[in-house]
Amino acid sequence: MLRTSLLLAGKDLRMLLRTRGLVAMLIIYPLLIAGILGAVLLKQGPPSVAFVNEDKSGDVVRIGTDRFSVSQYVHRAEDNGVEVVETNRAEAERMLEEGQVAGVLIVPQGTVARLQTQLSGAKLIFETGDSPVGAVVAQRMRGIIYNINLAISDALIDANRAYLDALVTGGEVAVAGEDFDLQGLRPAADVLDRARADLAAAGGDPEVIAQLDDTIEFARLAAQAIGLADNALEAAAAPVRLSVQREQGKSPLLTAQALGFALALVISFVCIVLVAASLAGERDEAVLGRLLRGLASARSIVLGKLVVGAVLAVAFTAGLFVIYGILAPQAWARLPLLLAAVVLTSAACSGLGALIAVLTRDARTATLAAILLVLPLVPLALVGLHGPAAWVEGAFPISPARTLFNATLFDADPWGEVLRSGGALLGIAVVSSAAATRLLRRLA
Amino acid sequence: MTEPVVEARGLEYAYRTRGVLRGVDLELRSGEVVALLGPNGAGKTTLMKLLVGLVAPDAGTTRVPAAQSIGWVPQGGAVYQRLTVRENLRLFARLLELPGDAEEIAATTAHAAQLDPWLDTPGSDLSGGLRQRLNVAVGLLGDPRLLVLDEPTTGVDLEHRAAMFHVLRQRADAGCSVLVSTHSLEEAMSVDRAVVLVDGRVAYSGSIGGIADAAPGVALDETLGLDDPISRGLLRLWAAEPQVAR
Repeated sequence: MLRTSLLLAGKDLRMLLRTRGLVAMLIIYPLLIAGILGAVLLKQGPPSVAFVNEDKSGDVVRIGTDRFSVSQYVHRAEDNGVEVVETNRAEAERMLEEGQVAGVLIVPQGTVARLQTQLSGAKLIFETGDSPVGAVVAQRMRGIIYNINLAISDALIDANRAYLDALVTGGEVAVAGEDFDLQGLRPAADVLDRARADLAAAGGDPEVIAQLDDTIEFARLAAQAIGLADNALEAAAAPVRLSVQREQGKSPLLTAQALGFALALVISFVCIVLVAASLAGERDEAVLGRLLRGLASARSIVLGKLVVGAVLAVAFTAGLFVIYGILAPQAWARLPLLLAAVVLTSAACSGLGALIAVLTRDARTATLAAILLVLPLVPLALVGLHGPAAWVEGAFPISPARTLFNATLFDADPWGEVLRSGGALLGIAVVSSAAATRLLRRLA
Repeated sequence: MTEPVVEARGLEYAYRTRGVLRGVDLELRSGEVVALLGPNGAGKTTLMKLLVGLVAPDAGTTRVPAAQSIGWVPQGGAVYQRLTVRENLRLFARLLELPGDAEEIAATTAHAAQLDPWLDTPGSDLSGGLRQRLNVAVGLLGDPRLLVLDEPTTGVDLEHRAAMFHVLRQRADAGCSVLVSTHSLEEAMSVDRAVVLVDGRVAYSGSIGGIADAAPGVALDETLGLDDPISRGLLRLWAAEPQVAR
């Protein structure tokens, strides 16, 4: 069966290459789409995050002599290409639901107080939607939280160093918001030293003088030991620190988004329309009946169309990916996974194209039906639907393909999404191809 | 008498509610060229599709050779328009898994069909008659035991019609069984037997000359001006059958 399918696929590709106008269109079309989408997405500006500060205990954390504002740190996300919109929780969740923001960062009540007491850690909440941007923004927010932790850690280290200094040399310290005046070990040892000298000069009890000597010795040793712990404290708190230098350049997120959508769009369009037109065209040329009469099974004919779709999809992807790979060289590591996603998407789209062909019968109607099916799905996949509308949209390949490509291209941990959307595409491929195979004889 | 290559008994077929075949019996023997005659819509193409296994009958049985041993020439020049004559023949030779070099088979077949000058011409650039000859050449690939041809001479010039029937005779002489549908009595004159299908029933089966004596009691519309006895016999057969939504 595979030999027959490959023979038929080779014949289809040969015929396709022979139609120069179509070949030119197939080369220009994906580049045009990618270019338009890229331009649109890059002009859209940075993704937005809603920021909700529910903490009534204040905004400024005071640790030792350091003070810093949680909201100020959150707003630093804007330096990393994320727009922060400060609002209340209900409004933030509405914005997330409607896709106006990629996520919501919530500072719960008592966060600053907990940080202030230095007795327990605090927890921020980040909610993301199901948009592919959400995962990337969450990654960026983790970076922001890392910077907050680092600042707090620095402040705590400074405060603790100040305590230790005060313990050694004496001075004022603030603990849990209260100020204390400490004498310090060294001044204490000096005081004791003078007291011991006075006692010795006055002919004091030698046993008491010996005890004072021990205490003075302890105070000096303790002061030395604490001096050593001072540096160890900083080293233990942050053994390795990352120095981040921001570089100029295009955002890989946005180019990945553009590529992901361009791939989903181009593969869907090309595979659905071309396979539908090609299969129905074979009926118009009366060749299908000849093939089905013992030369090729319905299954091998449909499989042949899937092979054609896969070859075209891989060819388009290669063209688009080279451009993307120049902008985001790290993407090359994802190439094998991306190719698997491309083949799966093309199978779902080609299967659907074959089904359209057997349901519509002639090439002109099949082409028109395929275009009419794909056109409304494109903007819907870009917007993202919810509820029953999303289920209906999910029954067609564009939306799961877009999700699959986005996960494949830039999710740090893509496997969950790859399995979900890949499973949906596999389901569409199997069901549509099986139905097309079953109904194909109607065309003969 | 040779064993029948094709045996069809009580074949019935309907497109939705419209009955097309209403109990057709047919036998084809090895070495026999049979013409299938009948008016438009009589069920000739449907009967042929049933025999080659493209559609399954609603009732009745068929016994035919294996699919690979059947040569099928459908109506409408069933070849790829954007492939050349050579590529079409090569592709179908490979699909049939014919032994030998597909390129050589393509060249030989094209030569036999007198298509050599058009070997590298795409199907879309061939005239209707040339495309039909290519269609027949594809059907003849692989020495089938049964050849079923649905109006193979449509658009073909006089010389090549004669050549085509000469080839069919050669195939029959080599043991092949040939069923060919046609509207040309001139072509039908060269066959061994004629089967006349009217409204999904076999109205006549026998020698082509015998048609002249068929349905003697049926009156004809004399304004048509037909005086050929076989044509008059055919028209009487058509008129004799009950008219069902033709």
